[in-house]
Amino acid sequence: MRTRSGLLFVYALLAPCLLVLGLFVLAPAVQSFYLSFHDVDPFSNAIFPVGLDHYREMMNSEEYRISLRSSICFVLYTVPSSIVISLFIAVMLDARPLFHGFFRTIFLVPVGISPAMAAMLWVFLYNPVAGYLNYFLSLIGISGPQWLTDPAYALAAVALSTVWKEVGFNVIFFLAGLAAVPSELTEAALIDGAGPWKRFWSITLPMISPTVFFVSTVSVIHAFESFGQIHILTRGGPAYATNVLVYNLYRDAFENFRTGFASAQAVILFLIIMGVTALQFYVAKRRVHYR
Amino acid sequence: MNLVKRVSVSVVRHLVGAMLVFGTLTLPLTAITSMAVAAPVTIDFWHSMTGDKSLLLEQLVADFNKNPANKERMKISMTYVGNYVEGINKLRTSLIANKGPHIAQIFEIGTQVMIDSKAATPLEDLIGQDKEFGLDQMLPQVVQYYKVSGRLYSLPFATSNPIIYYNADWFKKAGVGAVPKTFEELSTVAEKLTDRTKKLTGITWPLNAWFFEQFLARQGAVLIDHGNGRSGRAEKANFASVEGIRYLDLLAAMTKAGTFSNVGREWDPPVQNFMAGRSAMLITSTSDVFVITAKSPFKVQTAPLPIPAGMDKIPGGTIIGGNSLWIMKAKPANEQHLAYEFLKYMASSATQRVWHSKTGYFPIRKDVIASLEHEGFYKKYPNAKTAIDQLIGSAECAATQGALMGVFPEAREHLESAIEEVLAGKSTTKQALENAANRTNKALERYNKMQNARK
Repeated sequence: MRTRSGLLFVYALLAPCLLVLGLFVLAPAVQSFYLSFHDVDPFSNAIFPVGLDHYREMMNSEEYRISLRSSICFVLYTVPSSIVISLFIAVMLDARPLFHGFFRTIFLVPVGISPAMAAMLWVFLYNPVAGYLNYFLSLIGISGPQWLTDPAYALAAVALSTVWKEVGFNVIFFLAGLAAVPSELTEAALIDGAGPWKRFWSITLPMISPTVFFVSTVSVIHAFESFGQIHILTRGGPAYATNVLVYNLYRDAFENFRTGFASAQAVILFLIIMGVTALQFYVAKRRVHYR
Repeated sequence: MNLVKRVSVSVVRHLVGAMLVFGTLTLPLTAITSMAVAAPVTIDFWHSMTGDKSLLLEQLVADFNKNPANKERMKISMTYVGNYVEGINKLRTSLIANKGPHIAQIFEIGTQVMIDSKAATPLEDLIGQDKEFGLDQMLPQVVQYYKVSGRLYSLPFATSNPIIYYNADWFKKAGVGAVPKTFEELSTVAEKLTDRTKKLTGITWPLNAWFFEQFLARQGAVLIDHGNGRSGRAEKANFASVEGIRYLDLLAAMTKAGTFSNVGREWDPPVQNFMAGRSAMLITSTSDVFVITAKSPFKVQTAPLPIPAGMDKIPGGTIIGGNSLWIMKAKPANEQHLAYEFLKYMASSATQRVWHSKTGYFPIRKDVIASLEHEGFYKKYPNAKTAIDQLIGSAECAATQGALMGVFPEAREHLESAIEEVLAGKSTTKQALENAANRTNKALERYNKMQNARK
């Protein structure tokens, strides 16, 4: 089967994709790696080699440590909660309740809104002067916090908006996964007298574990790379509370004109995401059940 | 019927007459210019104005383009390039690709970076011996910001400083007679105006570092060493000075007491807070003075920034904020000269008059203030006068010249984070300001090293 012409055909099909990826993803990535060992003059693009200085600076920088911690917190706030919520919604929808088509659409709406627009909606909700969220809370007698200006709440507030946006995306995958669970299995369990809880844990969840694995991997990557909502809601503040790795990188690159240092941060972020994904694959090997 | 007819006939006659006169006047002019140049040159102008200000700017540019003296030679083409940070980034990348604009609007804290970039032609070089520009009419307190090592680099265009806005109705109801003149009075007055049960606060302003800088200058203190970076490249930040600590202590104490309403770093929420009648006083830029005065559902009055008691003899004042217009060096000399003519128009008393009287930004010229004063403009709009008096009353010294540093945006970020840490009760004033200063010092050291390496 694997003839020479067959292989050529395969490469011909892959070529456009490889070309685009190479030009817009791979080449800049290689350039970032190169620039991470240099200082770049902001206006002339002249470069000066600095060796490992940028990496050393990151190791010793308190700001970078705070930023790393914020990123990890952000991943922990958003990933498990969005998976649990979206799985719950998907299971409910899969049971085909009344108007399930309507509900499915409702949950998918946030996915269709552009990140900037979605964040603007949350700006109105969280507005410190006339925010809807605190207004509704006050109706039930709760005095809401200053969501975006209090360092104790800001990251959670951004995480909440992210979860709202991510849930719909995950629901799509879970619905597809659930649709692929053979009904004989659940029916057999039903005859054996298994309750809904037992059926979910012993049949459904193991059967859709590949989907859970896929969704969790993608969510972690998304969470580490979150930028739009942070840029619009908090700009990394207050008091560095939402200054996650990507935001710190952005500020160094585009506000402080430190392309070299920002590149080094991009390299480290790449390694972090690689590491976490590798870990997920390692866990998945033992836990995920592929048919 | 008859009257209408007569009027319309006379209108037509006048129009025809005007057109004839106009035509004969401009005919030789157009003949000369069309001989000299074939097609009008497009002069690209990148700006960061939004909302009403951008509409007004468009109007000013359209008037310039329509003027027969310019029409045949050039056309100013305006492009919005995002906010100030985005704008300077676009400029940066465009210069590398050699495709930049002729004129760029840059925020005041980008001045040092622009000078170091060597990408702009100093405005004073283009002015040369041109008396018509009216450099001698410009307010020294405005010019001193953009004058570096004796040369004016760019045209101060939108310039402003912060003032107190207060709700006069609220003052009356609370029985407060006078506006606070000192830091101490500011806290006591804010306390009197606060109503905790109704969640109404005495005062609000953005946590933006610009206010820290202004209050430092008001006390006559510099933000960074080497005379605010004016006598040499700055190396050390002066954030944790007595004056810096005094300002932040005041802010922290009022926040703790619940008399100051902290609604973050952004510019709009404090204005909303004030206009919604939830804070009795507001400190913000004078650039919104007409909007706030006209659109608030109560009587608004303005006052200068307070100073610590007993410090009225210390030379200090406010620094101008805003932006300036730069002419790019990469363009051919004749195009730079056309761009210069546009800036001359922007700096003219006619343009400055419109710009000032419709926004609240300062006029940059003495003659505009004098003629508006003469016409009774400030009697009608006294709120617009406060910032001008405050500016003219400012001493001309390093503190009020404003700081020059290549890492200004980063320094502001460190300062704002320090302020937020203190207000959240996570750090003491001194500790937070020292941390911010240390971080800024590192950035300054790095920047200076880079500048030396470039030579």
